[in-house]
Amino acid sequence: MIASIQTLLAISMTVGVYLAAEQLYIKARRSPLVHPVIVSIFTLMGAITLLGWDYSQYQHDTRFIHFLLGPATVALAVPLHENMALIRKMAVPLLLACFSGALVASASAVMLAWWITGDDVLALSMSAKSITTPIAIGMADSLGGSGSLAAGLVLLAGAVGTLVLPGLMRMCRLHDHALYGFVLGVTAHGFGTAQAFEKSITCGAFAGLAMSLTGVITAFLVPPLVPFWLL
Amino acid sequence: MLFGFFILMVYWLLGELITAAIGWPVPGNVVGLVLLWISLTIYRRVPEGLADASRSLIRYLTLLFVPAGVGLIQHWDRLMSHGLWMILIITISTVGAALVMIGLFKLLKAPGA
Repeated sequence: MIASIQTLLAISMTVGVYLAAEQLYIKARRSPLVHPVIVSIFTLMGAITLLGWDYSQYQHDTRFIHFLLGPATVALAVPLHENMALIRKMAVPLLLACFSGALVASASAVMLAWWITGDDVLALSMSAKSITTPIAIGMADSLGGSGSLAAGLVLLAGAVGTLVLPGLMRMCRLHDHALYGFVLGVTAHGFGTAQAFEKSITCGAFAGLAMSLTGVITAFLVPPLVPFWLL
Repeated sequence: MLFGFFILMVYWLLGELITAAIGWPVPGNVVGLVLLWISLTIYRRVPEGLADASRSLIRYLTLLFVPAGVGLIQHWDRLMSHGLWMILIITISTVGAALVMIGLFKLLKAPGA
């Protein structure tokens, strides 16, 4: 047998739940509160608890899906390459903003989590909370945090960002679609990008670019700095 | 398509080899991403097979991190004891980062700020 029945069941269930969650998301007019990832994760958590499976077994059975995160992350180079042309006109302010935004988003979350809770796994996982999930999982794991916890924090940051940022930008009178999208992409990754695309194509393209750049910059810059934030 | 998948796997492999060699805690797939990005910048166009493979993988990117996300179940106690703090910390950090960026745009007089 190529794969056990348990493995086939776990994979079919994961894909099936995801497809159903996607339909629900479309029916709910793409509200971030019923984002397919959030709905799938909580449904599957309930399902494996009811079936009496433990997570390590489920993780082992779905490793084929998880494996594809590797090439999919490398594939992010393609849209990044295609979108880089966008920033030629104002490369300096955008790159500076991306570096500072990425650093503040990561450092402030790590330091606050460490001071308040003293939980090092939580603090280390917080370092990846503003970046796109595929990069966040790998980064948190290699830092000694938890990829799964980071995935949860990323979802939370996305939901918080899409709720809080539009009001904040209105207050600060930032209306330009390119800059607006860029801020959404740096601080709220894929959730922000989806919201930016609802505003306009330009807004979404800048958000997507900001999301990929922030992921790369954070993954390279943050790991050597994290030990200094946990003092 | 298969050619594109081959390219992605080779760049991932290169990324893992480099991180293993220098022992830097950067995920190998992100190093692969940067190497591919540099290659595309030099080559100046995206080969068709690679464009197809990337599009298909990115289309279902959100499905791919569901298995890791279900692992949150192992952090249930953490969520229950620190959940509200997590929301508060994330809100402060998100607003702080956005304010720094907006401030920089205004300071540097970016077009449109």
